[in-house]
Amino acid sequence: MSSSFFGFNIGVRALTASQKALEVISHNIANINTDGYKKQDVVLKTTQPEGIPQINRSISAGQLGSGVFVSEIKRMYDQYIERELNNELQNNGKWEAGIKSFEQIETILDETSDNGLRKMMDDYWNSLEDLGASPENYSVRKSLVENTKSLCSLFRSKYEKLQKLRQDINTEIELKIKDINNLASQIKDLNKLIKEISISQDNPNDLMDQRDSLINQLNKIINIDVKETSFNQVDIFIGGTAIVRENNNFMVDASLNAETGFYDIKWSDTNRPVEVKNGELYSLLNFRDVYIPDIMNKLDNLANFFIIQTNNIHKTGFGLDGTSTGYDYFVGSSAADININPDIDSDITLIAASKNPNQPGDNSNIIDILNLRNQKILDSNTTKPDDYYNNMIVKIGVEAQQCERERQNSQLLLDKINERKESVSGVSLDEELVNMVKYQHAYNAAAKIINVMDSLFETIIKDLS
Amino acid sequence: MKVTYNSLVNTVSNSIQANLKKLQDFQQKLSSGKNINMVSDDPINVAQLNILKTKKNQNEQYIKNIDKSLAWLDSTENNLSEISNTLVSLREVCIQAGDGTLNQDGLNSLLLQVKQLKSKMLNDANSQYLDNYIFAGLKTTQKPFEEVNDIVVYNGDNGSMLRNLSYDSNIEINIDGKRVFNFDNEVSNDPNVFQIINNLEQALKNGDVNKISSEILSQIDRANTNVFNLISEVGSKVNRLELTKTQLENDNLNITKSVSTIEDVDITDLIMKLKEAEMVYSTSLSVAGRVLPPSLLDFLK
Repeated sequence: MSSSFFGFNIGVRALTASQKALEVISHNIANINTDGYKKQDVVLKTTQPEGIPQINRSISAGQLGSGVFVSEIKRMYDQYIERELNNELQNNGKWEAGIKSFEQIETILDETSDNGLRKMMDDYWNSLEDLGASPENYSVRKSLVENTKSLCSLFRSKYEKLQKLRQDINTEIELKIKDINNLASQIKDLNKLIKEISISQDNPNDLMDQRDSLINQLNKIINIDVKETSFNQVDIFIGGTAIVRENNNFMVDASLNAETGFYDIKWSDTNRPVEVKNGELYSLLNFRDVYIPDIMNKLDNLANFFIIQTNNIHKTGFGLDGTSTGYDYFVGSSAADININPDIDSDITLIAASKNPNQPGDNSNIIDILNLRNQKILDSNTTKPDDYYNNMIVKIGVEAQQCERERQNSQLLLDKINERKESVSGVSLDEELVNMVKYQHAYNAAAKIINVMDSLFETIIKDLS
Repeated sequence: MKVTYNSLVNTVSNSIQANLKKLQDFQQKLSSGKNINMVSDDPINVAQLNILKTKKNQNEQYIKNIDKSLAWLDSTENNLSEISNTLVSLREVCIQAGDGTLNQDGLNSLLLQVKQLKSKMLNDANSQYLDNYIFAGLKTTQKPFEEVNDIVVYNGDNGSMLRNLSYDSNIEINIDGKRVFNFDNEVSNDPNVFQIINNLEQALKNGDVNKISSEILSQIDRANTNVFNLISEVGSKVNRLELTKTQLENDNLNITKSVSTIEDVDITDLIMKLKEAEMVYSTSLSVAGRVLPPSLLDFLK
């Protein structure tokens, strides 16, 4: 025979369970727009039933249930989707950072407007043609000198701007490293809290949501692997080396390389390089160390072509006075320092248009210099200078286009993954409201039970008094 | 699959964004008037454009060169005509003198005339175009003909002025003094033109009319024929230059057309597309207003 108050207990438990369920629903609705929040659900279980089966069983039948309790509050979470999301975030970070750099490079080279190097080279060649048509003319010589100066300064400024872009990217890398360390340290702190709560058999749902958000952010920056360990903690690795291990985190350093003037990314404790394979950081490093230097190198080759080839021819010619010879036309040795020979700048008669002494009307030396335009000297004797530059511009354009396509693809994938994630972890108001009505009714019913119990007691107490 | 309010919001806002992006693209194209605003918009066509634009620039430069050469040749032709006129006048002098009817006084007055013609000839021989001597070969900044003790000497050379017509063809635009005046027996075995004039003067002084009518007259005729030949040579060069110029201009016309096809927006087409995009955009907005749904909340009282 069960206790008289047994029925009350069941009613109270039902009331508490429904109330807790309603509270969880409130929490869900309250956090419907919270970033990274995952819908939570109560898991109801029956409590331990009354009476254990035994030989001298009580006279009543079966096991009598003793009510309900909330066994856990779990968050709706799909590990597989989360993993996919993290992988795609790495790609997305890589392409997004790439597009930003490409946009800057395209703006620097500015080849769709008429302010680019191509237009300036055209102007330079045209001035030479002008001089070829009137080699004795002072004003033509003057305009050639001016156009040469513009060409040289454009070479230098494009080169300088690309170098500046590398430095900007370098600064951004330093900031990203700070972000990484900051995120790792927050994850470590959360690990500690999560462990403490998990040990006491509770689910630290909100903390884990926060940690998932941080891991998402970290994934966008760099390629990481996440491994779950005991008590809901996670370890995080970059290229096999741990950056977070339970409640420890390991610092990543941006150490200045004296030789390059840029930051190397190293582990603080071992001083070994960090293996960056994906994410924003990968793109930034790639642009800083490979892509932009390659463009600068090509500008150097082109500038060198102008300097060496033109000087070789120019030196053999004769100036307007008919005797001066042996002057270089350009000085410098790269795109960074190409300039017109200052002697020529100050005395335009030194421009050696003539191949022979005392022939001011001769333009054959200029014609030889002009012929450089059609000679395949660059790229180990396969490419004309105009084509060389054009190829470079088009290559950048095609790659930028490719990068933008990849970014769009990855964005699309990300949207799909997020949609799936939302369908698992998102809060649906309708669902919550339906559940709310459900638990409201359950609560009312439980109250009714107590009410009935009360009337039973009334009968016993009043009628027997 | 559970559809949440947030996933609806995301879908709607993504598609509104995509539509707005399209609208922005069209607007950028319309306002810049260009299909291509970044190399990465269409790298292959940018490559094509760059080649075309460079070619056009080059052609424009060659047209400029040709105009300069034409001016030079015009001036050459004028001076050659002047020289030819002078030779014709000299011929008339020879015929008058050779007539045999003039006494020494008459011959002396002809001598004065010849002296003037000679100085005109020298003047024409030293004529300039934009400060450069036309008949000096490549020594264009130095007076090519100088009279020293009645003897005219040539200080120029026989260098040829070559001008580019395209990257692989050129044209010689000058005629040096040796060929015009037959210095160093460049054209024939006759003495040079100034020497012929000197001989004429001498013969007039000496009253040697026979020499004038036989030897000197035919020498002057041959000199004039030479100048005529040079004038027609200049004429044929002018023709060639003008032909090339027309070709280059046609070429540029075609290039301009191609550039415009690639680069310039088709306004009507684009405006149609813009209107369409605007409609899609406003539709997506009104759909958004309707789709972002009433929730159960509206019905629970």
